[in-house]
Amino acid sequence: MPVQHYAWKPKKVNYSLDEKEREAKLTKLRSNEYHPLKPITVTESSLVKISSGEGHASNSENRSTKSHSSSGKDFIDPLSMLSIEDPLTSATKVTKPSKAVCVKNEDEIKEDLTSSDVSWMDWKLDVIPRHTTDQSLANSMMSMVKSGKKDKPGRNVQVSSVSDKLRDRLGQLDEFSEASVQEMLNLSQQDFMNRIHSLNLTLTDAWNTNQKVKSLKLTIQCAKLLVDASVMQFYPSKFILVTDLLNTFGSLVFDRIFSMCKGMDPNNIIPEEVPESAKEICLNWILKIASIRELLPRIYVEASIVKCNEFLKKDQCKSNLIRLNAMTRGIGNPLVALYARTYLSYIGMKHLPSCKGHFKSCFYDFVVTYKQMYTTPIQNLLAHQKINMESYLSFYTPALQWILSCVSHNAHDATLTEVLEKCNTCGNNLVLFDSCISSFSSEYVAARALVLCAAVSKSDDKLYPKFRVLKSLGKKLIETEPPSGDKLTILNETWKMLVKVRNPRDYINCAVVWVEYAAKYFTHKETNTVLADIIKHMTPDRVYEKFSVELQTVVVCILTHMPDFRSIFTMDKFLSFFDMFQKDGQRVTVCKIVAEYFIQNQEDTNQNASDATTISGLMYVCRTIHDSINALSIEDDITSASSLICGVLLKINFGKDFEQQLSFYVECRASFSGLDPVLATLVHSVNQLSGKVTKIVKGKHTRKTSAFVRACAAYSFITIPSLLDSATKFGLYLESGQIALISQCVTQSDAMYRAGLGTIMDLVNLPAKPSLENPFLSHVSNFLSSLLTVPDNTEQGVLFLLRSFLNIISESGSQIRPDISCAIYIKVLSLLTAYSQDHTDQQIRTLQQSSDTNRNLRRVEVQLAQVQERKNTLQDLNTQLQNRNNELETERVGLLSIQDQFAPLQRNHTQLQRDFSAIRQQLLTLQAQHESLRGNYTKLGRAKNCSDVNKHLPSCAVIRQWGYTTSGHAMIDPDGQGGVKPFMVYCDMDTDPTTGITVIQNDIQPNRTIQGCDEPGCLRVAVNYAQVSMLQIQALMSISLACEQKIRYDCLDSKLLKDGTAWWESRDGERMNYWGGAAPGSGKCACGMNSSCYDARERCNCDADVERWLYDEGYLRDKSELPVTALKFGDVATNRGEMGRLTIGALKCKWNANMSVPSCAALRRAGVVGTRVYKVDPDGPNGPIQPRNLMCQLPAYTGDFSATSTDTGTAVVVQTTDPDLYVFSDCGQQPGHVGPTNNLCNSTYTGSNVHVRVERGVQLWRVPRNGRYHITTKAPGGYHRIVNRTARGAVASGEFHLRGAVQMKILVGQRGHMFGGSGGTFVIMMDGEYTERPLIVSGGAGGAAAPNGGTNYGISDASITSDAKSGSVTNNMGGRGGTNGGGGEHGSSSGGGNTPGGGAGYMRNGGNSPDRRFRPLPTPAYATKGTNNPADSTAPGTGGTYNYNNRATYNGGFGGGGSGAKNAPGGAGGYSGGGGGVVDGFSGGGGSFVDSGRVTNHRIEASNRGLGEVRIRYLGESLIINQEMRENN
Amino acid sequence: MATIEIKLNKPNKVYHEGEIVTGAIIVESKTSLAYQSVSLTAEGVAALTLSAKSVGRLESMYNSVKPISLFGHSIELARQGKIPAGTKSIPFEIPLKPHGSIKWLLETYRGVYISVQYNIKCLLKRPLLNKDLTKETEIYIEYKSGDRANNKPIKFNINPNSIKNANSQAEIPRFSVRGRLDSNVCCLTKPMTGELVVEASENPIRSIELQLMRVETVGSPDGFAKEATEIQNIEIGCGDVCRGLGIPIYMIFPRMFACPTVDTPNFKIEFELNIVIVFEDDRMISENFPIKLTRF
Repeated sequence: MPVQHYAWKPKKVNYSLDEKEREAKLTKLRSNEYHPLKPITVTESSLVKISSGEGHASNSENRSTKSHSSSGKDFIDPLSMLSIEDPLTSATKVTKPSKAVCVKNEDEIKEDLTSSDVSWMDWKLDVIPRHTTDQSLANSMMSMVKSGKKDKPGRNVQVSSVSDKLRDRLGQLDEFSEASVQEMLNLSQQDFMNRIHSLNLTLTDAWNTNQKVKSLKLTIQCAKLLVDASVMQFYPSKFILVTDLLNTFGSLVFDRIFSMCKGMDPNNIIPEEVPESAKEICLNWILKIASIRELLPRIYVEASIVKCNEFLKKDQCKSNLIRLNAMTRGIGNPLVALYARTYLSYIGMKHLPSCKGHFKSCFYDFVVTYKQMYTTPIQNLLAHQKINMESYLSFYTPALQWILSCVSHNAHDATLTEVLEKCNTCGNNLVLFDSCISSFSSEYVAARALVLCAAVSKSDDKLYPKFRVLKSLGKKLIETEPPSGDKLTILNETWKMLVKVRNPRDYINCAVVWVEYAAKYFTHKETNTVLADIIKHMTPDRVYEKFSVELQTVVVCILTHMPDFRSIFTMDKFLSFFDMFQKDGQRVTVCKIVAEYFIQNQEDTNQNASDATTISGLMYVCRTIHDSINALSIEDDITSASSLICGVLLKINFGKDFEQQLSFYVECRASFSGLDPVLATLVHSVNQLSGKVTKIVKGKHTRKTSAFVRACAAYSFITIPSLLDSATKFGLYLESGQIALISQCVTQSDAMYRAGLGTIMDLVNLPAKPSLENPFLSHVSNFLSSLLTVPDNTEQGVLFLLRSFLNIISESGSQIRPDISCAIYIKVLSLLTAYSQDHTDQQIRTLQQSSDTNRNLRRVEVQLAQVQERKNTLQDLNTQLQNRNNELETERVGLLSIQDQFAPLQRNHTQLQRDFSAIRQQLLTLQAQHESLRGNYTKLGRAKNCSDVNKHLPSCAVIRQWGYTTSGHAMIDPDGQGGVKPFMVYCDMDTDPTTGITVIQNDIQPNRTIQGCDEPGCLRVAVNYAQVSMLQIQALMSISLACEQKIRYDCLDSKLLKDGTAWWESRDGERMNYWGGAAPGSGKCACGMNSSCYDARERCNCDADVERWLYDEGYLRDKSELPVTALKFGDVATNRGEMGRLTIGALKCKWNANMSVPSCAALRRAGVVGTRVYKVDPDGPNGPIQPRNLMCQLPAYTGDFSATSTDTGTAVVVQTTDPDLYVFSDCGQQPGHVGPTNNLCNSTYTGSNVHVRVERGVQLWRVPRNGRYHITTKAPGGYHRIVNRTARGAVASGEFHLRGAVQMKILVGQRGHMFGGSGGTFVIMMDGEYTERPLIVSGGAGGAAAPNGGTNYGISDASITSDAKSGSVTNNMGGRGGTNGGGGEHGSSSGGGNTPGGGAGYMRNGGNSPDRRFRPLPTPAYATKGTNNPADSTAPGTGGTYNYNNRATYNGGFGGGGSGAKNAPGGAGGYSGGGGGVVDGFSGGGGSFVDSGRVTNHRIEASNRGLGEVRIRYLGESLIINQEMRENN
Repeated sequence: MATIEIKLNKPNKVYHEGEIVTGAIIVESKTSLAYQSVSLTAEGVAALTLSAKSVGRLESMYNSVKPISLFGHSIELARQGKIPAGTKSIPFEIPLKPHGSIKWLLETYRGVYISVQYNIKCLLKRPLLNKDLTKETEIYIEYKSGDRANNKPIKFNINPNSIKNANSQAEIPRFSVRGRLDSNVCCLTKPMTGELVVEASENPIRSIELQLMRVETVGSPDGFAKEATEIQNIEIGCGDVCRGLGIPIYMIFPRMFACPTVDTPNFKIEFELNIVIVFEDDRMISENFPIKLTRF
């Protein structure tokens, strides 16, 4: 790239056009965004001040209320004295010493708050902290316990004389059987609370664990604790703890009973609708509790469950409460009685707030018993506990207050008057007055304040101090204003009484209230008097030191109620009141409070603004605050102090008297020099002042005003340097500079800017705030933008400030981050652009102003010259910048040269790319070669081609899977790398289309001659496998699913197995006594398995031992025994011409573990035994059908089916993955006349969704749920070796509505043996216990006369009607099929021989074969119906049996198949049994049946050649069943 | 395991004479259950014992009075058969009619010396080697009609002069209690009420109690044996109660131990109420009121 030089030119800007745009931008500024002209500190400080002010205010208010309520002598918990922000935190705070209550409280809050206006919760919170005792309960309680125990025995003797036994029984509830409560007596207060808490938990636990009596006992014992009033200080708290527990109990009982009444409103219980059982339980509880012996526990516990009475009878609750109220009269101790009444009124309030009567009677009863406190027992007790009467009475107040507040809740005035009258009549009524006043509504009290006052003054205050009453009265009057005429009289009256109070604590407690009264309703004059009196009272002996909190409250009261600060400070006693706060901390706190109030309440700044007294007072206050700050003060203190002072200063306003305002600020600066924020505020205020003045004179300063603004500028200039924070400093310099400029003090402004420039470098390292631009940068841009308006200094030359700024920047070196400095330069550029405009707004306006005002032409000239000069300077700067640009250009050129160097590299790159493509070409060629090589490999089948492949595949099956489908030799490594070495095998890919067969050859030539000796086992033939070790073979077999080896022995007059003549040896060298094709361990050859040997008596053809060539051959398939390692022969003596020929096939293995197999049947044919889940893929891995995991039940394969047979009946598929499909098979039992066993089915169905119980071969299954089900039954096909000649069983299907849990009997038909008829498949629904209803039945297929092939004598498929088919009608000798569930007739034959039986029907047995030639005699096929005589040992559905001369069995299949006879098939089972056949004829198929009343969409066809099976599929919900269920319910 | 249960149609099991007890025997078994018979017996017996105190310990052991049969009923519900697995319910009915000479069915009652009980017992006999299944349940008989409680208040005064069996009148501290019982023929199901006022007492009072006594009298060849038992004790005043203030008397009769007053030739059940005042110095003063309890 060629180097380009650009000339720098300023962009022309039309400001007037931009105006709108800019305004839009300006308005977008949010208030909290940084703006240089905005006095940030001030707003912030005012915010802080307000919030903290509120906090303090609420604190102190709460303190005041708290201290009102706490009486002098009570123990005051310091924690509870803290503020109460919300009920929850207060609950935790206040009750910190008593966790028990705390936990309970939270539960109750809602309940209490909603239940009544009179809040029990508040009451509790009030009482608990007041009535605690830090003395341990132990001592005093112990003494009581001792005396109590002493007393008891005498009495017990008398009582026990009545009847020990009965007493025991009655006393069950009374006695202290639980050790837990007994321990209570020795506890300290804290322990006591914990104890109650844990009892509370135990109670709930006991309740939940159904130990209802235990929980009742616990409750009673706890209630009993209230009898003991020995430690009276604690009694109210104890009362609350125990009543909490009672409430828990009450609600438990209520909830339990209520839970039995469904759908009732707890507030409106209708007894008539409560169920009897609930009433019974309720009554039980009530009676149980009514029999509690002791009075007090009885009252409490009855009260706790009083609500339950509502279950029995309407309004029972109310009458019970009234009765309980009356019962409290029996309590001797007035305190205990009073608290019992309190609980009753609480219960009343909670459940029946509308019923008021009993509250009043509560109170009246108390008034009657009130005099009791003078009786000797009580007086003795007081003396014993060293409690004076006053504090004793104070234990009454909370309870009294509660009761009275219940009385007064929504009460009519007349009631209250009546109550008051009552109080008046009895003696010592101050405590009553006190309670009345504090409980009654304030309006009522206020209206009668004067009367009450008079009554109080008349009363005798020996026992109960008056000041408490006065305090309560005062509080109420503050709430509501008394009649205006009475106000002063009341104050005078009370104060008269108050003056007499000697105890300073009592005095101040009360005075606090009345000061508030005075401040609220009177002017400063009266308040002043009151204050004077307080000072008089508090001064002696410096008692005020002890009551700083109360005194502080006084200040707060005055501040709250006298918003006018002028009048506050005019009170001469107010500041002298401050003298009482001697300690520094206190005074500062008070001052802070005053400042807060001032800031908060003085909205109206003009009113008090310039009053000298107020200001001096406030200055005093502020100074005090200021002086409290020292080097050791913490950050928060400093912030709050400065914000308070700032707040005050901002409020003080002298209006138009600017001079005075300025001098005030000067004074302030002197006073508050220590606080940066205050100074900053002062500078802001002065700037504001200056701005205001400029505004007033509209920019035209007079001599006086200009002097004033200069003074302001000077003030700022002097003040700013004393600030510590450089950012503030810089900001203030800028601000002051701008103000000075506006006020036309150019010189001053210059000085400001210069000073600002001096500090600018301090800002470099300001910490960046997130999400804002770099602070330094923002300050700089602030500075630069204000420079735009600054006129140039005539002496210093054009753009002096900018230049010095640039100097500073360029000298700063690495202090400024390069990106920042770059940004600064850009900003300078834009500044210069603004400068260079011909018409600039800002500047011209200022200049015009000044020219207008001064009319100073010279100045204009100078300005013009300046402009000119400025232009020149701009040129200079331009040149400078151009130079810089040149420098950059040089750098660029350098870069270009680097680029030149890069060019050869690029050439290299292209070269490389070319190389790469060549390599790729080569690679492709190689690939093509590889392909052809691979083709070669497969075509040639040359093993050596494989030898260079490192990794060998495990078996031919896998090789085939990999796509090599041509047979040939291959190296395989069955156990992968390691283990046995890879070895060479032949892969047969052609025989089995689904898998490759691994073939291991042996060294035995086919038809090897065996001849030479006579003794059994005398001739040994060892079998060696070509270059393959036994370990390698084992490895192969272990990964293969199936292996086989063909074995054949041709014999000429040579025995094989008979007499142990010959045998073969297994892998482990064990002697094996069976031959290929026979079951392992059977000792037979293949022909022996079905008795078809040459000599039917022998087990092998060869064993006939005749002089002709015979042979035995078959496959060995037991993987655990293969391969054959050796064979031993005998009976092949050369001299006798005996000889044999041996052929041992290769060992062939197929399928790998985890490989898909074509079918279960294939597996079974391959000799795999056992039940396991296999991946079945009928069309191979490449076919469209996805493989499925099926459980294959593979019984030992003993049949004579050749490997080519496509018979599918050799494996059972039992598992499906469909959750709604239930598949029932014969569990692998077939063929045979007996059904499967329970164990067999359970193991077959393992892992499937079918669960059955098998009874006598019938599978009992319960319908899983209501619904529609589609049932398919398949009866097994007939028995024929050639598949398409097999007779077909019926397949019946249909939909049924079944009810859940109904028992179904499922009988899956089985094939018979050879000539035996097949059974039918039945699905029978149980109706109740015994009634069977067949739903769907498919008939079995008839048998054939030549099941092994040969002549085709015809077959008979199952019948698709309910009537069965008859046997073949050759000669009319076939048996007739049954009809309507009947059995088939037996077939016939001349002379009774070879007669097959008929199939059984559902109702009747099949006709029995009359053949009596062989024993055991044939049995008939049994009917399927289950109601056969239970005594009959034969299971229903059992097939007929027939044994042909002990050689072969021709049993019928399970499911009613008839027995066959030689060459004559038996009739099939079904709904009706098929008729038996005749020799060389077929037998009849069974009838099928569908219950047409229940089925829909049914279908029957004779199509099944496979096994019997039942499939039941859940289709969905059944409306019919649901309807039925509803009707039945 | 098979279980057998008697389920009555009335949940509270309370019946009156002439009514028919209906219900069902529930047999539950996991396997089918063969049985020889299922039978049900209901009987009511009043059993009497002689108190050891009144006739001597030895006497009471062997000289117990013959129980009086009040009612008997027995039915066979099923003859030999088999119950299939599951739950089977066999319903039954028993009419409640008194036995021969007995005129009416007494109320169920369980005392120390006298008890009247009505039981229904079910027996399922099983074949040899199997344990028979039995289950017994009690039903409660209540009178259908009888005397009605009256409403005649009884006033009383207790003071040193009213005490009859004191050793010496002089030692008794001075006191005066007056009061009233609302009735002396009380209904069992309703509380006993009244009022009591301590007008004066020299000694402080510790407690005021109501003591309900039951007197059972059993006739024997040697005469009558009479036994009193405290069946309930209720405190109505605790501590030194306020003078001149009416304290309510309120007591609910215990369901288990109280019954209507009975007077038969063989035995009697009667009730008494004692008002007991205990002073702080353990002195005790008791006033006795015979009361009659009725069901109505």
